[in-house]
Amino acid sequence: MLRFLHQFASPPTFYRRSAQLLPWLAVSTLLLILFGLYQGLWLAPPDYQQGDSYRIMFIHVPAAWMSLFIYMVMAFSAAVVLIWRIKLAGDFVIASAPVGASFTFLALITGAIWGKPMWGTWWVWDARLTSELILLFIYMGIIALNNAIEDKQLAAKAVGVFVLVGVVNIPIIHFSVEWWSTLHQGPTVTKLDGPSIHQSMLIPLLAMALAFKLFYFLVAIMRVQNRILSDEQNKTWLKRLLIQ
Amino acid sequence: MMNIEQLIEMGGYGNYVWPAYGIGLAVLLLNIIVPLYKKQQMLKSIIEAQHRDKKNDT
Repeated sequence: MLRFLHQFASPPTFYRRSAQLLPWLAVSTLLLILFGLYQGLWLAPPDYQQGDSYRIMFIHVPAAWMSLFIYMVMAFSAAVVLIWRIKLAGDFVIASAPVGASFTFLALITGAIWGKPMWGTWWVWDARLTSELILLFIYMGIIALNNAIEDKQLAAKAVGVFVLVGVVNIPIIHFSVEWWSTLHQGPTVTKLDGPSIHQSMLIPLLAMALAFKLFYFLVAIMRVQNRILSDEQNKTWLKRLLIQ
Repeated sequence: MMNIEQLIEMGGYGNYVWPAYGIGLAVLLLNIIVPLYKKQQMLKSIIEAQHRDKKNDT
């Protein structure tokens, strides 16, 4: 397993393999988004309490899920960097941070737009919103820390430690709606007794969530490839590949 | 939804729903465009450097 990991994590192998993967990821992401939008904006009925405003959910909730999911993937990769010193894992952490920041920003801004008509305010300083805002700052801190350290190996280590420390915020975000009283509603999909949401709304929600996941891997791979390009531009394998 | 007008109106919430989707689209597009642009710039500079090396060799 470890040998397989090392082999796959060698930059030349990863560069070639992932290049084959990209078109498939791009096409399936696009199809899933179109399917999700059609289901969510056209087929799904209005909500009996919130009317059509609830349709913001189809980007807000998947974006918020992604903000946590990407962080957990980054934390896992950061552990791999620190324990096994696999360089590619470090590239993946750095490549993920801008995507994570984007989805966190998207979750916050769509939440504000949804909050205005439903709660009567764009923003409240309650636990869920504040902890999600802190997550955005953590993502930006990761990007800034990486940019601040010239030596790439050292940067990967420092970022790895920072990411692992920041993990403490993730359960706080997830459980914030249960631990503190808040305007934000509790979970309706990730509940023990099954989701309390009608199928016509659940299907587009899950389609968008899957689309965003594929999108994340698409962008992260593109960014890792760019890092490989810049790190290995003087290596023979890359020169050969570019001549072709 | 029954027709296009209803889709745009969003039961009176169009002013909230559509900007949210617009921002979502903009964020996704930016995430694709930025790395693509970077890659192009990098390939350009790498190929230029290779040409320079060849000239120096001869």
